[in-house]
Amino acid sequence: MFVPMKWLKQYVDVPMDVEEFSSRMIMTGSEVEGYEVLGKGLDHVVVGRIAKLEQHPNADRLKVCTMDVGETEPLQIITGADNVFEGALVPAALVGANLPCGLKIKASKLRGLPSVGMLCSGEELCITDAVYPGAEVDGILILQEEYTPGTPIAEVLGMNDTIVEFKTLSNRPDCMSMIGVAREASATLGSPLRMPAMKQVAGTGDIHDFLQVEVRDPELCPRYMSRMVRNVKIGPSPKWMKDALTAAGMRSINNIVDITNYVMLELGQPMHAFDYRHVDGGKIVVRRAAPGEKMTLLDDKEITLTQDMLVIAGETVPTALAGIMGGGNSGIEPDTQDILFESANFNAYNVRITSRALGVRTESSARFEKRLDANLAQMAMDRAMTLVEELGCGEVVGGCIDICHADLAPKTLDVSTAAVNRLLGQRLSGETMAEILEKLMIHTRVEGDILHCDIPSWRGDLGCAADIAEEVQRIYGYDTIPSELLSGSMNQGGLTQEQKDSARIKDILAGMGFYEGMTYSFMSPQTFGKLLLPQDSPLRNAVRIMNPLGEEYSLMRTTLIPGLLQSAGNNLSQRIDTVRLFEMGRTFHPKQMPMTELPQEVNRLGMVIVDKRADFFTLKGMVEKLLEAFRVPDVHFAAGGGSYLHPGRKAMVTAGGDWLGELGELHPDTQAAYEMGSRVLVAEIDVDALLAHQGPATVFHMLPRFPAVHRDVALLVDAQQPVGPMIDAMYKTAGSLLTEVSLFDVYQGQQVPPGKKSVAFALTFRCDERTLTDEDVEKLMEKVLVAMASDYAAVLRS
Amino acid sequence: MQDQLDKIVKETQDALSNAKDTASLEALRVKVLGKKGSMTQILRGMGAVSADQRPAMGRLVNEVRAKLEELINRQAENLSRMEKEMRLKLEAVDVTIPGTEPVMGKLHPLTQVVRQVQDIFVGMGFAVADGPEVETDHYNFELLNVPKNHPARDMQDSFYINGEIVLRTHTSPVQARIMTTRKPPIRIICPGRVYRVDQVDATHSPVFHQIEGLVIDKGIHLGHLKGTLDEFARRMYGESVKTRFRPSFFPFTEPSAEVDISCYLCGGKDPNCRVCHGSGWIEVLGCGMVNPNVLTMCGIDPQEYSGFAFGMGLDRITNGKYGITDLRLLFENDLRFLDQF
Repeated sequence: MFVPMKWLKQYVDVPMDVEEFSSRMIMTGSEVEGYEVLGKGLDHVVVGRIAKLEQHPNADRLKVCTMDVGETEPLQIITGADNVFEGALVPAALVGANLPCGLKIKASKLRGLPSVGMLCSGEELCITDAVYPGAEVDGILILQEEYTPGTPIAEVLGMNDTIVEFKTLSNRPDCMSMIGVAREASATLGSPLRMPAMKQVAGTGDIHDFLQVEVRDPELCPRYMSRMVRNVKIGPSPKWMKDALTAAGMRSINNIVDITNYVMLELGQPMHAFDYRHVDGGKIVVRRAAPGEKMTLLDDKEITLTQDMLVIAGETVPTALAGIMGGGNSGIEPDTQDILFESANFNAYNVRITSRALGVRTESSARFEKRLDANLAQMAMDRAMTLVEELGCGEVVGGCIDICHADLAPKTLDVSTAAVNRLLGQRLSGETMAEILEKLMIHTRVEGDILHCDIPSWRGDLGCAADIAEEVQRIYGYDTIPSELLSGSMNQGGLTQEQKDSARIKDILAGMGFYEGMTYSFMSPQTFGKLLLPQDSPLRNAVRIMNPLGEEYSLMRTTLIPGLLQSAGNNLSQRIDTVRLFEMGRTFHPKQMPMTELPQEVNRLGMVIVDKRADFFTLKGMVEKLLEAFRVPDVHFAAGGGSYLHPGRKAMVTAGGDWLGELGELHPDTQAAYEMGSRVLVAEIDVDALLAHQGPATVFHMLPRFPAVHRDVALLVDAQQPVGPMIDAMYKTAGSLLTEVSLFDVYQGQQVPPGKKSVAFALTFRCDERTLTDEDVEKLMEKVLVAMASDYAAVLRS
Repeated sequence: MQDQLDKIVKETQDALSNAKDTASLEALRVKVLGKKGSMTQILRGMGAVSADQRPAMGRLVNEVRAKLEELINRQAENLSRMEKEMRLKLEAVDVTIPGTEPVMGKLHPLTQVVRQVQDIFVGMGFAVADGPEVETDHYNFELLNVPKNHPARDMQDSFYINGEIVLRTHTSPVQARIMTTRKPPIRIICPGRVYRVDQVDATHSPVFHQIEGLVIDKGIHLGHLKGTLDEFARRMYGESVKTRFRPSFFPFTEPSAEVDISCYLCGGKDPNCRVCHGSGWIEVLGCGMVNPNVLTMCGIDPQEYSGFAFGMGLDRITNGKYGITDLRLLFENDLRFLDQF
């Protein structure tokens, strides 16, 4: 909300500059977004009267003005404008002025005559007709009203002001008004508050002779007040009111509408004025709209209503959307004669959802939806009638219709000073607290340890000791809060093993050359197709967002792969040809559809590699090393895995039979769908499962004391025969003396028969108790070869 | 014989000065001291020396031989040293050629910041807690004193899954989960992902990260909150950093505060500072004493216990720390970005 300092100072003295004012207000809890000093560049520009106007002796187009600028001696200023005349009041820029248009005024000579200033056009002052009528004419700005020469021009233009922008906290709707901010300023600065005149205007006649009001839904409209003004004279508002509204960011319309807006800005109570002609049947009905009922708003927008929306209607036709905007049919026009002022209280939640549903937000709805004080309606009505009289814009009719279901009883709150001090860590006396609370207009009586507080009606946010504690502390000063460290023994701090392990996974991956990435937790339904997922794939079972930012972000991810592919693709398109990325994050899996409980959230690790030198085994080796780091026992890789992987180059990894994840080369179709030109390797690991399968703590093994014996062997087997089971079988057959089997060659080609391949292994034998003899090793080799021959039809290659 | 010896010595000395490499030196050694060498010849000729002269002669020959050996060895050492120096000189590399890069990745800047923040609080005895990202309305709002039609819901535009389930809009529901399941004393932090309906731009993201803190115990007051956060600010931003507590409003705390830290970049001296924009202060977190309604709803007696809570935006802290000006970069995973941290 924009608060012009000139307006604010009507209610409270602010004896300091705006910078200091802002910081003091911030420190007591107001949020100041910033401020703007108006009239920049208007220093040294004053009202001047052209006392004498003469033709320049040496130039046809120049005139010599003898100016009265409020000083003892007149000044001579030369102008080239045609529209000046003797006696005119004009803006005169004096030497030293630095105009908003960029001109700097210096003493000079024009065609031999000295000129000590410049007469200004509206353009040179950077103002428009909206700021001052006539500002846009071609020529010098001629001031309309009478001003004393020497008056600063900023004052004339209403620009000798500073506008401070305050942000209203959601619990303080009372601060969406000049008075609300003035109350805070008064408490902050210790300056007394001056309330504006609010008379109970008696008026003549009786409103009941003209109007009936019926509130059909008191829950949505706790209070409705109406007063009537007859024989109004619609016209412009006085300058002070126009200036105030303009400075606060509103447009001046006419005296009646301006009064409603002025009161709203001043007190925070939105008001509305209806043309009595358009209140059909002389009746106002506050009711829920009929389903499908239509109305046109003041801004000519046609809206369709639902029965959750409240309208102000005549006997039949709605004339306003309650608390939000008037109808197009009810506006004040130049020939309006009789008007009804509305000052009401509407249900905050209802105003909010209606305003949201229709996409119509106004100054009025912004206030109502924060829950206003029902007492305010009365104050605002009184203030408005006072202004109607003051401005002489019509005859106030006697009586006021007031249908009130709101609880207007004053509230009190008893709070123990000990409770307040305990929360604040302070030792303030009850008297000190009471003194502070009085500044906030919370009348407080101290009785022993108890503060009896009368809560002002506009402070609906105060309801318990903690609230009072905050009020006390914020005025006493947050900078006085003692800084104290926590004490006491806490032996539950630190990271859990799982948290440390998760961190370690990241460190290991970074060590393997992966950069850590982060992607949104959202997923597009189009992903399913790109990943070639079958209809029954569990990955299609995703949590759906009701109000997503777009279809692209409408699901919660069930896999980390798409996000990583997207990121890798982005890098490739930046001509980065080698990418190693990983992400650790959650995937979301509904337990049932529709969801009746929270989905399962799984911690996953996703990896992606784009690298010409890498293949399936590069990635597999990394996954193996990662599992080894956590000593996961009984790990198996078997052909298989997601549809998005190359059917012949994908594997599932299990531990003790449980699924830990899958890895492989990306399916060419998926690769194409992500528009990636090079081979891509991906893996996804269930981190929760991995950590659950962590092996027992490491036990040290004595370093070998006896030498190892090495044997190489090449076997011919069927080309389709997987090597993994053969290695397992070797260990099983040879027993503990066989300490290592490593595959060092796989060959298919001319040297071996068709349909066969040659696989070559290096076997290492070792015994911890003695040196193995050739005989020992030969026996073991024999056993191994027999097993290979019988189980895998393996033939020793000569 | 004496003449012969003198001649050999003379010749050897001359030859030595001409032996420019170990090979020619070795040839000289053979020529003089080898089996057929000149000194060996002399020794062989000792038979012809008269018996009375033989001991003196023999001594003389051995002395000369030892002397020659020493001369040759010394020259050998010189030569081998010179040759080594020559070799080392030839082996010299251009040390300004860039090193061969090992394959190594890096952790995301946000992870690095989370770890830094986590370390500080763990050092103050905090444990790290966790909660679901898809959360019930009950934990995300209701238990935090934000009932269905409360205006404070305006502050958080939430993604809804259905009427009862939302994507958590802050890490605060973890507070409620901890309070409803654990007995005080409680001292936890909770880093995590949160979601709000915000279009993606340089300063907004529908997905971002927060870290939440909660302390519940007997006798906890606003001073402990300030002390804890002062300590955090000093460890995070350096000893000289100042904090500023401003009153604010959050439905789940009362009294509430926003905490600013003095600008670590310009100290408020640069009106165009990219971090504080000249104000001298950087808003880093929101906090307050846990609202007694929240304690009661979570089954903790506010007469017996009190506590404080705080929450801060990790993405913003990360951006501030590294001078990152566009939030989107954190989620794009451009390696040219990730490689900078």
